[in-house]
Amino acid sequence: MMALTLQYQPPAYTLVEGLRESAQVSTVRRDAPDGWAREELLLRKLGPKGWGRVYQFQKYYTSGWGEKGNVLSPKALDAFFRFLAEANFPADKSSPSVFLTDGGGVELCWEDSAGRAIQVEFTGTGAEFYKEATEEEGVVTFEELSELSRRLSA
Amino acid sequence: MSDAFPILIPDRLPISISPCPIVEAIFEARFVSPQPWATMPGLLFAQIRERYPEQKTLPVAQLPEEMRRQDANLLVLPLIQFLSDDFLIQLGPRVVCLVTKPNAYPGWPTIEQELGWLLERLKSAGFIGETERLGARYIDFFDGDVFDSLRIGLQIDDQPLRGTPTDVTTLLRRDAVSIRLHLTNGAIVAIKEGPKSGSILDVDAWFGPLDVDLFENGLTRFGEAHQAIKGLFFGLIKPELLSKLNPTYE
Amino acid sequence: MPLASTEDIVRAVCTDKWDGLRLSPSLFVGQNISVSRLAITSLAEHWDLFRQYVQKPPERLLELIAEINVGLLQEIGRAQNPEVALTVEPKAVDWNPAHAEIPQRITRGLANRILPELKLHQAPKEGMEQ
Repeated sequence: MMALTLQYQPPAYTLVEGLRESAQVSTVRRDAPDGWAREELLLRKLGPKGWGRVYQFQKYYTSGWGEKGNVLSPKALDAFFRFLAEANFPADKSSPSVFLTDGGGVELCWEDSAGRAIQVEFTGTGAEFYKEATEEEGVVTFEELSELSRRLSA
Repeated sequence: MSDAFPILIPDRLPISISPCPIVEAIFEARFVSPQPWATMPGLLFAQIRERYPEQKTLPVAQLPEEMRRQDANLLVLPLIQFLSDDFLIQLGPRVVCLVTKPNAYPGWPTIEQELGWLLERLKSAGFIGETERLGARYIDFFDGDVFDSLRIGLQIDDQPLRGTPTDVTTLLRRDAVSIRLHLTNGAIVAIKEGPKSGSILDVDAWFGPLDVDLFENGLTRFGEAHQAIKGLFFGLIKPELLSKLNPTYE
Repeated sequence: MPLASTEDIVRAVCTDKWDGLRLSPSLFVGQNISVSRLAITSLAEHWDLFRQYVQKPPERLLELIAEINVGLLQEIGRAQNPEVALTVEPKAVDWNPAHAEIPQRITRGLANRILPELKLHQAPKEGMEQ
């Protein structure tokens, strides 16, 4: 991905010339140390399309989009990453789809190995899930995300 | 990878050191807001004008919003600054921070008091929605090459790398706190007498959105971030450097 | 006065709700879901309306318009266990005189039954009538 990297310097100091990165067009985009792990997770679990969609939701869907759109909830996004880190998806099916809900939540949709729908919507207060195979739907807290991930994973 | 925190924090931490190496301390909250950016400066200024009468638009505000969006660092930068005698308050569409004046660190009790006051004013201003991130960042300056005086360094072939301009950044985690530790011996800071070269220890400690709410536990979390940075600082410096800082204990 | 079962209703589907493979069930989950009436505004005119008021290029694009018959929607609600008596209530707004709402709460399970019954319209090519 081509990206123009603008050099950002913290306000209190500058680095001597040799240590400064030159601002140049580069095919490598360096994320903050705490960002690369999430990007790698997105690419690995959701593929380039899912990675790109999450990037768009974070960067471009500012408050007031659409008819009743709310900006992406930081709590929902964090919960989504925590769930994704532990989730396993059927290898022989299409990569899960990711959507932005009108309430500012993140919705993850995929099918189990028998082709039946599994969906989780991460909100600012927890997560709502649906499992077609058992006609089960419910709500969990952030603390119950790990257990939910195990229940819903392949 | 081991889960243990790699830096040994001393049981007893000084309450003050002299000379104080702190160039700047920043207490930052990132948030999302249902309000458009255009309304925020006015809403905040109405709450803080008595203490912060002066305001200044920052250079990054000149960049088009589209350009700021393309760089994750620029997206969360403040665009306007409010000034008092002792502190700065900086505000952007996704961020608010309290900043100490350069080379004039007033001590944690004074900062804590000002943070408490600011949180009340932010609550009254009413534009902050969900908290995305909350943390403290301390930037310390040292003359010369501080790698010799810290329990951290770069190695090549098991030999410490010495005497070359070096820049090291690592990400640590201690319970709910994430800590970005940045250390360089090739930095230039501006002091009263003019620019000075030396070493910088830049530590940023923060809580993520599931562990913090600015108005419910924000002040406590700021205190915890401050304590984490303080512990890390005294855990990193070797006895020779500590003795030069004339530590005072309770 | 709720809409007659013979009416057809539509919903805008933008990039946040369609990824080329799957449709987001959240399109129909919740209460007071917004829809629009083909009896008041034609499908072709809905493309123009949604492009003007719902789309936000370049990131948020109008990808599809999803259509369903009110009677079919109600049938799906009645087949749900427990049964849900769905209605569609007219609620004109400034930018859309055809605007209506489904006031009842639609669960995710029910939304998953609605989704397969939607008729999905793609953007018309220029010069083609709908």
